[in-house]
Amino acid sequence: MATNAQDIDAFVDRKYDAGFYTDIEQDTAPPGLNEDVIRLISGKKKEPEWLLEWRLKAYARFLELREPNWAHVEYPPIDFQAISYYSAPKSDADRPQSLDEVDPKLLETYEKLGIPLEEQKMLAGVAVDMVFDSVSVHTTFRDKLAEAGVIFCSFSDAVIDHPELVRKYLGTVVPTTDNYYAALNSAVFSDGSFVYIPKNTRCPMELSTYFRINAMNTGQFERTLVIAEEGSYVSYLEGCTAPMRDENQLHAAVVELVALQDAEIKYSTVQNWYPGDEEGRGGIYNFVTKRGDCRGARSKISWTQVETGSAITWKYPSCVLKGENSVGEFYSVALTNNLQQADTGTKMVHIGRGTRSTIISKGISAGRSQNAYRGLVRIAAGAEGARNYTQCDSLLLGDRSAAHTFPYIECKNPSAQIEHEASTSKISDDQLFYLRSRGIKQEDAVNLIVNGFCKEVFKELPMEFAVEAQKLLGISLEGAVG
Amino acid sequence: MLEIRNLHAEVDGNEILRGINLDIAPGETHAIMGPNGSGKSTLSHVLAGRDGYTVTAGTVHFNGKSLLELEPEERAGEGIFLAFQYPVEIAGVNNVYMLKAALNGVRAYRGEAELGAVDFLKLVKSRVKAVGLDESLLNRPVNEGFSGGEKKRNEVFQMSVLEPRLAILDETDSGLDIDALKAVAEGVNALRDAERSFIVVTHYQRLLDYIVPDHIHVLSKGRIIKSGGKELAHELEARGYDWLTSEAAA
Amino acid sequence: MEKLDEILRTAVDLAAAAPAWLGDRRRAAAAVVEEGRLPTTSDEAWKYTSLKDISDQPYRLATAADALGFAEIDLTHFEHAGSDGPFAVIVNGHLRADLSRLDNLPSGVTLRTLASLSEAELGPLVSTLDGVESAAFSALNLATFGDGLLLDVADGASATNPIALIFVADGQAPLLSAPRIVINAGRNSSVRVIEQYLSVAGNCGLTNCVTNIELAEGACVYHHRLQDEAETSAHIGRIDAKVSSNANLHSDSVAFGGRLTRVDIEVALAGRGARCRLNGLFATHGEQHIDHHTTVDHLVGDTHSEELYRGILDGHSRGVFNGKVIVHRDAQQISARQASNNLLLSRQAEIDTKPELEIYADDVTCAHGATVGNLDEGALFYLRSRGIGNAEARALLTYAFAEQVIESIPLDSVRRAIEQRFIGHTDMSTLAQGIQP
Repeated sequence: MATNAQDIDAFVDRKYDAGFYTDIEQDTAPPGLNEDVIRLISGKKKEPEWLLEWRLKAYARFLELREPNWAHVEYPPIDFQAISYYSAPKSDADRPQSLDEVDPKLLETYEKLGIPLEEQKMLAGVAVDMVFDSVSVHTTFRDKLAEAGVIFCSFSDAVIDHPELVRKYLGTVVPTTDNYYAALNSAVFSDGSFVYIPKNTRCPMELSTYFRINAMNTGQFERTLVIAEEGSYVSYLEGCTAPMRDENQLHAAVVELVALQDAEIKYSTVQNWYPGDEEGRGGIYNFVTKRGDCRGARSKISWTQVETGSAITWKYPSCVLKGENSVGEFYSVALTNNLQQADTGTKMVHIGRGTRSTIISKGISAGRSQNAYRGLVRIAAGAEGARNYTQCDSLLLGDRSAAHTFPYIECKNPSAQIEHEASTSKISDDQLFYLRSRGIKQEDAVNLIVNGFCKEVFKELPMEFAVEAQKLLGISLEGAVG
Repeated sequence: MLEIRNLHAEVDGNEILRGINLDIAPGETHAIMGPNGSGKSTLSHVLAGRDGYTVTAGTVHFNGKSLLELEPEERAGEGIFLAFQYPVEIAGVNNVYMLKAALNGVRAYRGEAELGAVDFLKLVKSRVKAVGLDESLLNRPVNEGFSGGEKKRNEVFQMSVLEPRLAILDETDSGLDIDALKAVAEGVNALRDAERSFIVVTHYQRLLDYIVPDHIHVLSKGRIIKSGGKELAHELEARGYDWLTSEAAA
Repeated sequence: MEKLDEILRTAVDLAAAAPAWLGDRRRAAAAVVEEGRLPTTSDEAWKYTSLKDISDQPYRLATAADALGFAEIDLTHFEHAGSDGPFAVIVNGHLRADLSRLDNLPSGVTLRTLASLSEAELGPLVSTLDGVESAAFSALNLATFGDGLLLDVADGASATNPIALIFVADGQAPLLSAPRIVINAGRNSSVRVIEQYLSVAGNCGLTNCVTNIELAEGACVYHHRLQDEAETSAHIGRIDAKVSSNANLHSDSVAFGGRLTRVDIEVALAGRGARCRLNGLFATHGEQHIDHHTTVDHLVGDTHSEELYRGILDGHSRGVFNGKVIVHRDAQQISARQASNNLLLSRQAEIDTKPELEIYADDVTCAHGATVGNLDEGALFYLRSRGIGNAEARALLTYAFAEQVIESIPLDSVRRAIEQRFIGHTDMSTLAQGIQP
């Protein structure tokens, strides 16, 4: 259909609004990966001996592992010796001094997303006195959290201030030996976040706005640990709809979640890293290991992700459902365009009795991109009465895009019930015509249909981010028509 | 207002419309009747600008503007509205949100200011009552899970909000029971005025008892073979189409 | 396989004895196996099926002499509608003309050994035989097959009576037999072929068979593959089909037998208007392991596939299904549907199912669904409230679940085997009709 093709061409032509680049001197370790570099990182961070040992053990394991090759992605070999594994946070003098120095296209995007001015400055890395404002904001947050007994700090601070908690839980969900990139992260992780919610505590706010501001400069090997004690609840949002600048090509983060009895963790991600240009040059490799342990009875972990950025996404936020009647959820929107590649999905491992999981995945492929859902549902022999429902739908925009579905279903318990449905189709000509005959421009019509397609996932996001995520898809489609 | 001259159109190389001529003045209601396969729906779709139809000859002017060169949304902006025979279901897209996007799209086309949320809702509330659409349907996804009657009523409701200058009702009566038919017709009649024109495409005379047309045209094999007043419908009801089609062939 | 090297040496001897065209291919295939060895569970395609059991076996390649011991085939095994139809008996990979009945082949149909073909007749077959060398077991088959058989269906021929090919694994020694079948269906021809695999009690051989099916324009092939070997035998089978424009392949794969079974079915929809329907049923108990891998390649536009596989797993058994649908670039206006439904009846059984879609075109309607569960409690209750005992109700529902997949197989014996297996006697099929699990 001609109009459809136009739309798709337009979509394909959209530009990444944040493609700016700055050349800044940094306090950086020389490129290379070896034990000395790991000692340097650990030393700079004043880490205790046990953590250094832990890192070194992970490194030894990393050397034995092979890079995974089963994902439906292609990229040239990564030279791990060419990467610098330590760089100090930038000094204020190196940053843009005001928003005037920031790429106006980026600001335009912030504007469209409705991001407040102060946050815009943070996101763009502007070094200005507004820190005053933000400090007071932080202090308010911090007081509120402290009152509730919630610990929320950088991973480095947690290592110093709460070593017993870090030591008790670090690597218990994603062991250092888990996979190639997890081993690498364990050896060289730079920083990240630490969250601890005490027993029977409902975290008094979404750890989102606060985190969004603090998420800057955590480096390319981020480490996050969230612990929800019995009966507690926390909603956590990482990332940002606003495109974030980053000069590192390889990102290999590890996120570990622990939910004890009756605890609930809601973890939402909006990922909009630089995807590379129309020819697939540049862009982030996002190789992430995210896993949650539902350790206690009736615990619940819910992952929601909106993935629009990165040149390559390799990511399977998972739930290990150990506690009886524990619940795992995965809601995902993954949009790829140009030469982006995504291989993303989840693993639901049912171990405890009466465990339940839901997987809703929506993939949108445009341009010449490759978009794959890969998911595992495993029911162990003891998971009496386990249930899984999976639905994964793919929408194709353009005849050079590709969509793939690779579900793995493994069941060892006869009382389990698993239901998996998947569909792949192109955007409907009938729907497009219906909307256009009502006076809606075709790019808006495409946008409406795509957002409708993603609705089930967006409704799982905290309200403010749902709105932003919708706008984000809108912007992607809007930049299209030229 | 609408001038169709010698319109020929084909689908997949098959000629469906073979020289349609039709003039519609402001405020007039024209019924287009005809047996299945006569080209009624094709005419509706060609006027609304659906892809897949190739116009091979002829012109269509709407208020002096050549319609055939416009995109579907531009035609909507000019004031054309097609009430679909089979309204499309769109998962996840809120009915009222879609309508707001449509209304503001049409307004933008006309160079009018966007209608704010408050004014828009006020408008919607008044219109939804007027056409008797169940209000709970407003916040559901477009047409999804609607009954046949609800879908048609939703079409009329959209029409009442968008206030077109020319509305084309494509077999709006199909699949409706008599009560739903009456309700839909009432909604349409409420929108009739001295400026607004209608094309009512139907196979049966039944609908025309409720939406009484000024003119009736009989379409057969892609041509208008007979035009007349509203009494023509009753004649067709009594005698069928055959006498006309054989007359035309003779 | 403990004696793989020895088998490959035998293959080289076979190559030396074969006509040049075949000899070269046998040597090349043997080299492929020697180079790549046999797959392991780290290969994605063998993730759920370990070959450890058979790799420890001291298999010896079956020779023509190994086919002679078998005396008589019990015809009730392959009774089918019009059971006076033609059949060929292949024992340990070698045709036993004396046990076969081939004088009543339908007109337009011929069945010959590959060795008996002239150079000219072989021409078009060579590429068929070459096509599958990259997979270890099909290469092994090419290097070692005994009597390859060519079933030729002339253009326009319509063979209504099914043609049965009965493969028997005979003897107690661990023999490797490698049957090879080529089915060539001419333009607008139509044929129904039954491939049935049996083995004598206590057989611990390995059958490594490959069937090539070529459908010319407008051809229609019904292919019913039934694997009911002894539960001590191992079976690795493969079907490679190429479907030309407007041709239609219907494939059933039913597997009940064997200790370890792996069946690969690869269908290339190569011409516009080509269609295929793949049905499968596997039922396992005891220590059985049955693995089906199917691939449907939509190479061009306007091609259509439907697939329904059902598994019933009991005892300590394991079932595997991997169904892949690939829509190639520019292959527009495709429809593909696939369903994998599985009944898990025992606490020690396991099912691994993986329906996959790989789509490189946009004008497609593709869907798959997979379910794993036990019998529907509502249906069970309904039957029991009508006075049917629990065990019998379960049996009925299980039977009905299986029956739906194989309704098109014109073999009463298959239906009876299913009844026997799930109901325990063979007069319930009429009762079970119409009950949807």
